[in-house]
Amino acid sequence: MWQIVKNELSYHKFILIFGCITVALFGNATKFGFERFDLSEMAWMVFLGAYTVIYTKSQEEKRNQYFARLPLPVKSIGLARITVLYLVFFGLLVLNSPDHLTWKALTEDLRSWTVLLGNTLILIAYTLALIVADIHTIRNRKYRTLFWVSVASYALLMTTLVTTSLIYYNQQSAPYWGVFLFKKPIIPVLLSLLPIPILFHVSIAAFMRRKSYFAA
Amino acid sequence: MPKAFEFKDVIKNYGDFSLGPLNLALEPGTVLGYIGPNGSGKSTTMHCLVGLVKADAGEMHVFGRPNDPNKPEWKLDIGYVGDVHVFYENWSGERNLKFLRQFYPNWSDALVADLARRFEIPLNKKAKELSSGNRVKLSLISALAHQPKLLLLDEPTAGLDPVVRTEVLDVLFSVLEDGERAIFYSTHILSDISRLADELAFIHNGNVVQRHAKEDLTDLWRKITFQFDGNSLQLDAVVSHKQEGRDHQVISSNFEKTLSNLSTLGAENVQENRMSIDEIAVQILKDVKNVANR
Repeated sequence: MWQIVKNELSYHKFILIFGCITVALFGNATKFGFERFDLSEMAWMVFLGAYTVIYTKSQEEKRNQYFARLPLPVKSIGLARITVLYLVFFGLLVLNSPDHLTWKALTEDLRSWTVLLGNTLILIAYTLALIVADIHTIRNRKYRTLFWVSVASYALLMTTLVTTSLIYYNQQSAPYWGVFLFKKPIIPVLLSLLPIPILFHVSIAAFMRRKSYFAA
Repeated sequence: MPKAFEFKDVIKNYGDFSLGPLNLALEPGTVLGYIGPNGSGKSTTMHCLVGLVKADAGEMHVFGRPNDPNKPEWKLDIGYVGDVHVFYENWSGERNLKFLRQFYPNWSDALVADLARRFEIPLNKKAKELSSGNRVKLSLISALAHQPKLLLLDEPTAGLDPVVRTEVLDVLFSVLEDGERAIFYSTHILSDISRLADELAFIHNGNVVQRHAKEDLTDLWRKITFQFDGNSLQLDAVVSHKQEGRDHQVISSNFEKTLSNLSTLGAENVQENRMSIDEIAVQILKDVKNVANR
């Protein structure tokens, strides 16, 4: 499994190095006194771009088909595939906004939650795309349940993000239950992070149950 | 000794196409040509065996081991080249081979070097910059370098122009002639495999309809011409019959039986001609199609 992860990261090393440097510099622009230009927005765009290139390259070059021929258990391949995406994501996330990931920021600053949830939403969207592609090859009602589990996770995260944003930007328009929930930061913490391990496992299960490794 | 591979009642449904129930086996060290028209199920058979597609029913074994996707040791015995050649496109051929080497304990760098020399492939070029012919060659090196006991070739030269195809096959066959591995080669161009094949299996509409030793086919099949005046011509083993006046031409799958019939009937100017394996294969597939359409 690690051979695949290592090779995938090595294959994308230039985009990863470029992404890491840019995200680390722009994401922390406020530290260098560039608050006016809101460079952290640009960091976010680079983050998204780098992530998208890595994801789409793997689809374009039919990586599933390449790996499925290898003498590796199909579970390892599914695990490697999702691990690459998650490693890149969390690596970039940590570089993007170290300020937002401190305990103090997470417990007291709603803006940190908005940033974290926004980024997590990207991760969930890409994981969902993988799961949908897998499930498309499984013409079986039982395994379509996987899809709805994923959609429910996405909806949960989206609701949390919208609520957080509303509270952050204008508390008056936020729903009462949202304001109530965010008085106890541990609840939105759990809510927003819950879909990540769920979808991680769902994506491995869906990959293992594919009926064909030809489709993207 | 376990068979190189074995299909037992394997079924794969695609809605508009169904493979099987397929029962097919190959002895170690044997070369089986898998012949059929486009869409007959050749690639599906290969994909099920390699694990790229999951069969809906049945069992498959490779050298006695079930082709379980979670216990993939059986894949160490297989070298597979399909009609699509997948690589890390921005890596050189050499780097792609280095990636694959990690997964195969029997990988031989010396063999890679020898194959690269014989195929005359520039391994330092990026995969995406390789010509179609060189992509096929790189796939073949990838499939052969771990010295598999079973080689699965699924129309590997599809899409190549005739000159490049001949060039690739000439080198491939000279490499394969040295070895003792089992080969399962699917194609709709029989001349691609007739040089190597020990046996030929013919597939039509998802089912293996005939299987013969190559020697049996070339020994038994003949094109026979003769003259005959009568109306009632009942001949054994005839798969095709053309008539112009009193001139007849038949293709027989057992020429001795047919000649014996003709002798009894008193046919004149009987001449028998040997047929090439390509002509025989075309005739078998035509015959199968006619039977299916009746």
